[in-house]
Amino acid sequence: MESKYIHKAFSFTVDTPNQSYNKKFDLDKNVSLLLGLLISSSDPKKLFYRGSQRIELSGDELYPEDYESKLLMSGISVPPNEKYVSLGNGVLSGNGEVKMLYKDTDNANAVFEPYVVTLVLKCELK
Amino acid sequence: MIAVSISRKFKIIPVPISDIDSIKTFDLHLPSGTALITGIQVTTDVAGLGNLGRLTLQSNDRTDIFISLAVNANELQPADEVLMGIDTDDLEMQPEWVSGKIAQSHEIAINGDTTLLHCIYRTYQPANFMLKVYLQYQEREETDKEEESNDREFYTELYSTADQTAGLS
Repeated sequence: MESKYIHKAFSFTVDTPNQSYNKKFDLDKNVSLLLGLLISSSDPKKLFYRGSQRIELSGDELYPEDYESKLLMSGISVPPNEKYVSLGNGVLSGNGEVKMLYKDTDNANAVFEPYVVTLVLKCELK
Repeated sequence: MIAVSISRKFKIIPVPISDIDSIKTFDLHLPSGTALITGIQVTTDVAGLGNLGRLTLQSNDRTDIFISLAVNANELQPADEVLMGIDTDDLEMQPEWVSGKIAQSHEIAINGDTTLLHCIYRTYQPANFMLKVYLQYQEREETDKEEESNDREFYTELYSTADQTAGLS
């Protein structure tokens, strides 16, 4: 049987400097595996220098606290099919609950202004 | 068969580097249950300085160096050709969020005593910055479980084949 993929995007606004943002997103019930992810922003420079996060899926930690956002970013020069950070053979979606603890931290290379953070998940359907 | 499990764990170790350090030696500690280090990544929090130095790691049993990595600042400086007005497609002159040249994880597999790693940072360009070392590792219990699971699959298959040969199934 041929697998079907969907890309789910979840966004939130970072409106206060040096704050943590605890976000919870739910995947559709027909998602079986999480295959990859990426993080992007309305202002990539701010995400690159100021962002870090913890990400968990169905209670399992994918990335620990203080994992820098820049390591999960891509670039406009990268072909679309190569943008995602691969999670190997995939991670079972379980109850489909994605939790993200995003932290904004001061950095001299990027002065704070509100920006939007987007988490994009590449999922395989049942 | 699609094997789906989360066995990887990360340890993030910040190491302050001062502009007076020409060579800095330090140790990285990992949990005692660490069975295997599978990946390493280094990042810095400074921009536009190019190549800052080199980080070299050795496991605790004082065997050979297992990896030596270039430590670069973010936003690589334009190549000399660009500064001299020569048209080039060199993507390294672009910041990482445009070029996508994000610090990559280096795949490694080190067995032996990996609870303590000996490190040397050698400065090529003096600067004050925070070096972050990301170590991806597997814990012993999980590795054993995986081996046990593989053993179980192997013996199940073996007995099944034997049963078929004996006409029992």
